[in-house]
Amino acid sequence: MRRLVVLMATVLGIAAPALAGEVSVPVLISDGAVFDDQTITVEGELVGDFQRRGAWVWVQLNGDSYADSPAPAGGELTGSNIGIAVRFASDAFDAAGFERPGGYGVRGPVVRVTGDWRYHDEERGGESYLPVDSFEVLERERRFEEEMPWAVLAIGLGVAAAGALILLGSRLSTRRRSARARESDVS
Amino acid sequence: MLVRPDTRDGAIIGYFLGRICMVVAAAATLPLAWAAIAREWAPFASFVLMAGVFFMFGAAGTALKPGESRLDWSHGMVVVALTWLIVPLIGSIPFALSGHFSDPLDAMFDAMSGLTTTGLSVLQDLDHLASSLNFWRHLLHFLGGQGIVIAALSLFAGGGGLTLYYGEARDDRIFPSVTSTARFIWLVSLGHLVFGVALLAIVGIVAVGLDPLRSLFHGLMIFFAGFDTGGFAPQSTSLGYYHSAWYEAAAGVLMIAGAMSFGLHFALWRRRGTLAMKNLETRTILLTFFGTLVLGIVGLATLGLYTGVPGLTRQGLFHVLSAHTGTGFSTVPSVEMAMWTGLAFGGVAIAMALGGMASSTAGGVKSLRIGLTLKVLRDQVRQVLLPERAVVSRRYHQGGPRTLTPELAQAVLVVSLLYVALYLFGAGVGIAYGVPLQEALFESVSAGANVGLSVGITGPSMPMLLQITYMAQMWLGRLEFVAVFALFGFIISLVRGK
Repeated sequence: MRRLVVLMATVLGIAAPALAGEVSVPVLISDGAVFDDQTITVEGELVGDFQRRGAWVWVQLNGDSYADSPAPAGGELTGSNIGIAVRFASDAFDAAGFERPGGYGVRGPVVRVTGDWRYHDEERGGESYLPVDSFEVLERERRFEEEMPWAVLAIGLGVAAAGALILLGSRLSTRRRSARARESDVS
Repeated sequence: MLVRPDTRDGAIIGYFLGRICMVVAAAATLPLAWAAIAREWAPFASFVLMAGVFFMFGAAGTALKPGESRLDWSHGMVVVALTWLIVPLIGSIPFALSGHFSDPLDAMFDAMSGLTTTGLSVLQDLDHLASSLNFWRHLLHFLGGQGIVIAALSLFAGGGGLTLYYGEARDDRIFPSVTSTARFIWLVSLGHLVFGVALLAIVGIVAVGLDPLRSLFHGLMIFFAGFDTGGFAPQSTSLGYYHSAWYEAAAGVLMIAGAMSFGLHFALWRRRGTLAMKNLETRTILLTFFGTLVLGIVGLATLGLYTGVPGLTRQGLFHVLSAHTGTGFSTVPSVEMAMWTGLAFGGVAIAMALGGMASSTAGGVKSLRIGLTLKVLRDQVRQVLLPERAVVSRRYHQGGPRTLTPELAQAVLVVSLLYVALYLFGAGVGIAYGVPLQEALFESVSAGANVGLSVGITGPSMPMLLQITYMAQMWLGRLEFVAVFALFGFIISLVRGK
């Protein structure tokens, strides 16, 4: 059943571009009003959290270059993230079997979603978001790891040790000075 | 004649800087522990390096212990001004090594923005940032908002407290002793920490639908940024990430608490709320808040960006509150913020420029100064209109009846004018780089008033000189000029003194 729902979503997702206009997230952000109430298809990485609210799951979909390769995984720095809010129906979302959204150590699932863009939706207090009618999973989550930079760690420990030596030295010198002062007082 | 500072002056300054570095070194162990628990090893190594450098500077500084010499006003001011340069400089080490910044200046920009509770950011790919680095960004808000020097004061009783306290732009002495006042400030903040994180975590689970652990994480970050009127957020879409009016309301409560003076917190704690309502500052902030709110909402309605009452009130209220408290949270992207022209721009920009209460974590000119400036103007007009021999009352209420002396009026007007000059200077640099007037002014006010709202000028590709200008504005605005001017005076004395 789960596979069937994913397949249905995928089929709908593949069919969607023929019906709906493909829009990039940066264009949607800068010209959101133009696409109000229009059926559009956007592509990007699901990041942050899967916000589960009853019948809906809210996620941020980023359409920037980090969806290909995040900065900590060696991706080229190309500016800030560019994301929109997307809202999935819970059952279809769960059927897709996403494990984790994108974040540190994880490049999130990359999806192509289609829906009617809501720009400054008054029913939601002026929020802009895309309620997803259908979606296609383009790539699954991918984990990446940053290795321990041993050189940085060694320098850090060395600097801290130098600090400890300075502290110790100053304490000893203060003690010696006060001992000398006491001796001269006695004599 | 200028007197050149001698080695003893250097030793006193070095000693107090050392003590403060020790406190920050201790604070730096928090993100270090966080990184170890989260098994984020690359940030872990960078935190070891940062903590080590703070510790070494701290040890070297405290080794200069200057015998019987006491910290005088000029020393205290120089210590404060240098602290607010050294901490972001060393505190930017983990950022610079994170791979999220193009160069060390960008890393320093974010550290300065964090510490001064501004919230402007040039960080790239925030949504893949390690949680420990995110924690450090927000902890910088907390350290800066409460005052690092305040932290040092509450831990180390002893000479020199008063000058350091005033140097950090605090003038509300709640208790006779500065150390007790500093401890009270930390007590209030820790009380709010428990309440605020719990509130946000619950709203996060119930209204936003976050996992409990993630909700706690978001709650902690938003608390630091909200209560300390900072404006950083753990995700790139700021408060818009949560798509929840309830979450915005919870953050709003903390933003208001952060923009209140600690004197007002004390009055409310002692159940003297009615008395606090008589204060000139409380009345002024209520007046300016509602004034800018009306301006903002009418402006948004005129622009036609929101067509209904829910959108207009929610977006207008949240952004004017965010601007007036100096927080800088936003629920719309910066490109959309740039569309807020006319009255909407006026409402938000004026709210940013005015700022919160004196002796709070907020920036800007501050309500007390605005109230006193208005009083000076009103008194001048009345003096002109009344018969020549009539005496105009110079009294006002602020924690009790007070007299507005000519010296106080002069000081208030000078600082207010300095803020205006600071805003105009930053705007001028922006214009020189080809930024349109309105956007240049918005971003400059945001930096100088330590707010953090942006129309998109601040970013990784911004010109270096503009970036340095905004950093200087954050530094000057946060310390309210005096400590920075004292540092310049000290440097001039070093060069030209005899």
